[in-house]
Amino acid sequence: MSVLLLALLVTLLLGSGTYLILRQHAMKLILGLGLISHAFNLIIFSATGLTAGTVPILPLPPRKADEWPGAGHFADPLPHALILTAIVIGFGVTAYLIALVQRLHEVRDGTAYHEVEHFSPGRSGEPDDYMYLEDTLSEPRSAAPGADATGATR
Amino acid sequence: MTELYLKYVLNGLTAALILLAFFFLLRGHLLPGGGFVGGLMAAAVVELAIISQGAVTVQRRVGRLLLPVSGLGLLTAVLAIIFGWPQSGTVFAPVYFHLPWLEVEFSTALAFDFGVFLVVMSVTSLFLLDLTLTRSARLEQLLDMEDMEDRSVGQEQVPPPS
Amino acid sequence: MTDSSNLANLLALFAIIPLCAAGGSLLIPRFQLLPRLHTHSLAALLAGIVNLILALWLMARTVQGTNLVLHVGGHHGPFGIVLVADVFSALLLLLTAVIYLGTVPFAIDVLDQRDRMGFYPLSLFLLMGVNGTFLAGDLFNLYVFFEILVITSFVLVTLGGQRDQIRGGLRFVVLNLLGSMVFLGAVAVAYGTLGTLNFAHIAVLLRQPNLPAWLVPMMAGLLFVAFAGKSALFPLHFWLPCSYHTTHPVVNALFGGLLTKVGLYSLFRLFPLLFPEQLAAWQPAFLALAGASMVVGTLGGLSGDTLRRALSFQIVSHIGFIFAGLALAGTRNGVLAVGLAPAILYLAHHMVVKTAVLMAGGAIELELQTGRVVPGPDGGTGGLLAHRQWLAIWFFLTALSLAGIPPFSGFTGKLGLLLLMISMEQWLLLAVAVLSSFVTLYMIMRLWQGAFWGAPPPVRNTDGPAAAPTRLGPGFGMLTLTPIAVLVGCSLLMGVFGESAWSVANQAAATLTDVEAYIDSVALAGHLADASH
Repeated sequence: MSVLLLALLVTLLLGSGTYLILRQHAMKLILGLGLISHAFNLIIFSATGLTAGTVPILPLPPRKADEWPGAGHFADPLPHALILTAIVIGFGVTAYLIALVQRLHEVRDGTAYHEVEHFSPGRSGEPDDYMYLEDTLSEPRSAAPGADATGATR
Repeated sequence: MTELYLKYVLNGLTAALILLAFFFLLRGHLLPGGGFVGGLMAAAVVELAIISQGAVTVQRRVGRLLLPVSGLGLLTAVLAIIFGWPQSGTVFAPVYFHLPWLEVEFSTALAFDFGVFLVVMSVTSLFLLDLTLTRSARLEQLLDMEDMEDRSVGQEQVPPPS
Repeated sequence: MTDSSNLANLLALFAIIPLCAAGGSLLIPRFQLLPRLHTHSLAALLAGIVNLILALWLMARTVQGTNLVLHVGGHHGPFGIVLVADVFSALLLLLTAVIYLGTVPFAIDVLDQRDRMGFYPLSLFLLMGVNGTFLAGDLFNLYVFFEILVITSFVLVTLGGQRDQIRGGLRFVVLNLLGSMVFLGAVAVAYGTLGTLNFAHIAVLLRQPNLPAWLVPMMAGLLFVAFAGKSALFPLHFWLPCSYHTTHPVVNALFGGLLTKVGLYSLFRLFPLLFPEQLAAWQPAFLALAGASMVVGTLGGLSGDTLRRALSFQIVSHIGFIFAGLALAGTRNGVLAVGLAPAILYLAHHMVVKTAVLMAGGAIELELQTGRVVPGPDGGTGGLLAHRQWLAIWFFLTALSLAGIPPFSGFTGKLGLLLLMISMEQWLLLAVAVLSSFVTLYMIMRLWQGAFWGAPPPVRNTDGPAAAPTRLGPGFGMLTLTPIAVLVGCSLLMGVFGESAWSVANQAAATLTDVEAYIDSVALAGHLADASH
């Protein structure tokens, strides 16, 4: 039963995440990626089957060997370790993406995202069209990227 | 952006949170906890300071230290990894010290955790600072870091090597 | 033969040395040592040299038939982390070391102040990720090292912080992140059904008779999608042409040499080891994808209007060539080492030459501030032959090697692949491969003509003095030309001493297909390996 619920939850997360990514909006993109990464964390979580068990750590102070709980008594710690690593990686990537979107805003008009009074529509009633991502393959403004990065910031 | 109430509780809360961070770090030796959780807790201290005193103040106080501290953490962790190599014949093997004047056991695993602690704390704080800093403050910081450079921007005028 | 003695600990140094150098350069503030050298670049240079020495040692050791296996912390697989080095891993580690050491002088030469900020520590983390991927002995460490590499590359893509870089970088991040998620799904399936992540242990457990029928296709499919995305194979290649050309030329050269190859390495490692039947069963689809990659990459390269855009897009076509070797190697009777060998040779050639040609193209773009081979409104390239004879020569030689003209390494690899297609009677693929080689030759000649031939471009910046029209950007010197020359020399050596290169590639292919030797070398904790037989 709980596996079914978990499966439904994963489906919901994956579906909404995909929808958000396909909106081609930078902020929604980040939210969508967050949802999808949580969906995959749940997939790993459910991979070993949902069995009841305690924390796989021997109690302190150390007891005698015959007082230890049986092997089946513990939850499998490996999926937890995998999920923890995946969460950390997802956290790092999300942080980086947020910083990237903030730079996108700064490159556009020189203010940080949180300095704008109203998030949407942008300052002085402009639409936040810079957040829409469809014109990546258009011509670069400067022909040699990287070469004049110094000039842009001085 | 300073908050009145936060200013009053800041000192006490900072001390308590740092203690808590170290508690998590040391507890990770035998129980749940460890460098990652402790590092996040320590980064929460920096975030608290950002909220109560403003990003620019925090940047002036600790901004320059954060990158070197993350490097220090990396080196600490690496040193802890290879410390046990000569003794046990393999990297990543923990070495335990029983310090005679102290009741506490020290191990290279704890040193590794401390490295993780430093890296997580400094990198997370860097990210939080970077998000809250304004563009001008960030540029100031960039210019600070690249002051001792060899090639000036006027490089273009150098004649070509023939 | 396996050596898991104390010497195997040196495998950990492939991750530890870049980490130390990166940590050191973060800790010690940057200051100038020599006019062209500061502490960060010195750290990167030293780490690159030590890494190269280690890789040479490992190559010399594994080529004698000894696999090196490190059971990290003394914990044996499948419970502990295992690092495995065989000839294939050692070969790729060696190529990585050469490429990394080649790009560092280029970076010292051409990176300007702002771009230089984080390049060296980041590139060291990238080196650590690539090294670790080539050594990982289980799925999850493969994932972790992949992520180290990918997250570092996220930051490197946007080095410079320009608008187009950020937009291209967003695409890059999202598609690579989705690929990682699919990879994570494969990890979940493997652990959920088999209860292990160690490659050797998975290979042993997959031989059980009563496995569910969906298991192998599902794992193979998920892993294939993940790695095909990372290696920019045809339907999942689109992140590459929209981000590579926006990066700084140094980053572009480093990426062109290393990044997509990691995905290919994983395909080459995992499919012969774990899913040899799937390789045969899905061969038609794989061949179609390989052919499509060749076509798309070549046409994309042809349509590229700037040097680096064309050269970057052309990577996809080479990925198609290399993947075709893997697809052809799968037969009903198991994976043929004869099939993998030319693909491995071509992979080695591609890594070396692509880095060299991207460095040369990047140098041209930096010199002229534009890479436009087709003159447009903002000027174009041309007339460099008068000023840059050596660059013209090196670019020409890499172009020849890229197109597969003897005596360069491109010839032997491509010849092997074409012979393989003939012996497998894949006539359509053969036609596509030959045709795309010729189009590549045409494309690269067009780029060379556009950059070096003809009149110098009209002066672009109108406010400056019009004295030196071809010297608009910061120049480059011997530090750029020497690595290109060395890489071209490597390609020439691999071509001239083709027989020796063949024997190494054959040996690498043999280690990939010899599943038993791999499982034995990993030396799983005894009772687990026995219980499943």
